[in-house]
Amino acid sequence: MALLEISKLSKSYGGSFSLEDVSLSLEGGQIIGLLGPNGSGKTTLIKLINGLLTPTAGAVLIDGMEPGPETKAKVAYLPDRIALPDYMTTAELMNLYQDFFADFDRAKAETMADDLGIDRKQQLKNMSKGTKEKLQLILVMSRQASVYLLDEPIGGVDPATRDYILRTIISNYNESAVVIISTHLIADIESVLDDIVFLRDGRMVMHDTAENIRENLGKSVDELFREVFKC
Amino acid sequence: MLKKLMKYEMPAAGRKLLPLYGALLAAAVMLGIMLRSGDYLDGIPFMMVIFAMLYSCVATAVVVMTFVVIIQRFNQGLLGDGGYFNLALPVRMDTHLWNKTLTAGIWTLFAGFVGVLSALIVAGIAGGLDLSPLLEIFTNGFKFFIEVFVIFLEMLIVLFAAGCKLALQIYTAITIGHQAKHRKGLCSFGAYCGIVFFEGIIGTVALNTGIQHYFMEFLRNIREGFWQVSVAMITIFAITAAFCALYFLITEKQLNTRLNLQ
Repeated sequence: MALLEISKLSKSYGGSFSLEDVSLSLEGGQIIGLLGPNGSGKTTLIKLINGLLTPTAGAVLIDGMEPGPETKAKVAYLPDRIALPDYMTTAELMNLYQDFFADFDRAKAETMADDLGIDRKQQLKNMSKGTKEKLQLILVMSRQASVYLLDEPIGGVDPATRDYILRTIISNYNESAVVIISTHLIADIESVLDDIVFLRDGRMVMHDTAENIRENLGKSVDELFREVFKC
Repeated sequence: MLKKLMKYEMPAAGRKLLPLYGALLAAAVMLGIMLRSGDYLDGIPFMMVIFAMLYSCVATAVVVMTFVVIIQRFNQGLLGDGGYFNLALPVRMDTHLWNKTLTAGIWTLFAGFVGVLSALIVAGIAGGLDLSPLLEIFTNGFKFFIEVFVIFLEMLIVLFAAGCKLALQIYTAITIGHQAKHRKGLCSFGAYCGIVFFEGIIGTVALNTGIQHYFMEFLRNIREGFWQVSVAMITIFAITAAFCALYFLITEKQLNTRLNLQ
């Protein structure tokens, strides 16, 4: 059985579909780029996988289980917004993660925080937007999870930090895990992707390996994206 | 997991409420001193009026803020941005709901305690506090002391249950309102009005059966005053707990089967 099995998954709001009939079967040990324009259903799919939305139809199975407390212990989720309590300091947030996630590696989080110069005593609300995003990513990537769901992980940071974050993702994820990255910044992440999923208007229009795209179509993923989603 | 959740939930609510409770006790001390000085008897009681108003304002703020914090901690923590973190924790939905409800009950109890304490401070400093009934508790024998203690404990439990019920009414209303596509806040308010109306109907139907007469008759047949009060307290608690259970089940069901964090 695949680590992440999505079958005929749909989500509609008042009759209009945000996600329609998506099926995917993902094994561990790969990084998947979930790509598509705004409103294509990327965030909806990620939220459905993590049980933050109730599907209209279809099912999600993580390691054979429907989304619930057991799967959340295995899923490291980076939302597309700052969701952590803003009155807490970096050190307190690390304590919080340590309390709730058995797979949280405190030493790894401390090292990454040092690398990015994040003050342990600073409250989240007093940090810049970029620093908040970095801290949130550090906490997520310090887990030894089976599934990483990263919704726009590099959207709000400078290019130098972007490189660090991508290196962090590649070097820190559990090698038997599946990493799903949703982003618009394809050129920046292209080099780390194994698989590509294109979404348009809630439907999956392509699922292939990055290598196939480059070899068979003779194009980079970024070029293909621009061609497929040309306005 | 409930213990871990409450470890973070209690201080989160306390950050907003404790300064207000402190302000209420400080206002009580100032009002007590002003009343004790007695200067206001000779002229226009400007200072006394100002401090009395200050005390009333802070007391009102305590009630309002306790209410607001209960709403905020649930709405933002589970159904707002905070939900993206909290609902991604490996915690069952009923544990989340227990956490919010118990914390709300504890803070309501604490607000009531601080309110009573502030009134005692005003009376104590102003010189109007008669401590002789309190002393009687200790001088009237061990049985009387235990009875007073048990009744006091029952009162605390009933107040705690009332706080939990208020919180669960609000949570039920918010989760129902959250199902609406637009104007979720307005829909939640409408749902809350509906819940209050529903309770009113239940109460009216119950009173129409004449059940209260049987209950009063039952109480009259109990000879000891202590047991009369205790039975009344237990009955109030049982009714409150039954409503709590109903609202808890509705809210949990809504969150488990219709959660849509947008």
